[in-house]
Amino acid sequence: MANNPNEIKSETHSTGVSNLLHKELILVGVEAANWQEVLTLLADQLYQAGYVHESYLQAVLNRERQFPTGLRTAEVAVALPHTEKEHVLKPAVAVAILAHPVTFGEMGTEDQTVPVEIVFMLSILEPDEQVTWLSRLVSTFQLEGFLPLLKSAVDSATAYQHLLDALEFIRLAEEED
Amino acid sequence: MAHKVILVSCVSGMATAETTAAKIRKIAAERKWDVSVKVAEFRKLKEAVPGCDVLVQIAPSDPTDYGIPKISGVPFLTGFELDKTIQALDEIINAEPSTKPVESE
Repeated sequence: MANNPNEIKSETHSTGVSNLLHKELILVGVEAANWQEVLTLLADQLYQAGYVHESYLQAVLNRERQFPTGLRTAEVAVALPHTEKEHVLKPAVAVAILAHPVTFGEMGTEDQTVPVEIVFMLSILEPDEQVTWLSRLVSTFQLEGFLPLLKSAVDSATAYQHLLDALEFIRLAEEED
Repeated sequence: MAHKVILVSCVSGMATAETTAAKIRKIAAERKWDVSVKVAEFRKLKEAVPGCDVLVQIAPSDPTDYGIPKISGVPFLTGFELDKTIQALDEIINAEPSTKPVESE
């Protein structure tokens, strides 16, 4: 872990938001009947854009079945599907804002479910390097009103801007500490 | 206060555990806890537990008793009921060295 705040900052600007979040990997109004459809759609986006191997799709489906990633938050439930790094080429986050809630298994449970409205599919290569960014992404879930705002985005560009704004807000809040 | 070791575990020791560990390190710094935070993947949890004082587990669902207090790390990801979780961790961190855990409320 970098202890020097300047290191963290430069890492954020070079390999952070700008390289991990992409407008074309943010889908809004996604119609899906089940979690498998959502994961297939997002994994296909990552594959087509060159971020993951073809094997990523099957791997992420298997892992979600075995170790679900649905999370209840205070406002809008989310899911964070991801899988082993051997299926990953480059780090990225693909986002699906769902037109209707889709049932996911709840992380850390055998049989609980959660009605998920926003899915963040993580393609992670080196958790040590991406942890600052992931930690900020997760922090945005805790900003009151942020997930409802993101859910309401009418297009990818708006959703992208909401995410950038929230991440920047978190980064600035960290600097004040 | 004796130094305590917090062990964070998820399925692969990747995204979720590393993220949770980062959150805990930040909270620990704010609260001046004398702790170190380690990450382990689920398959290697048994080997990782010795020397640790508390296990923060995110997934999978796991009824195993590792002989140290265990709390869910999910609130560090969601913020949902995070205060309670921090409070529980605080009580473990600040417990006297000889005491085993830990009345949860």
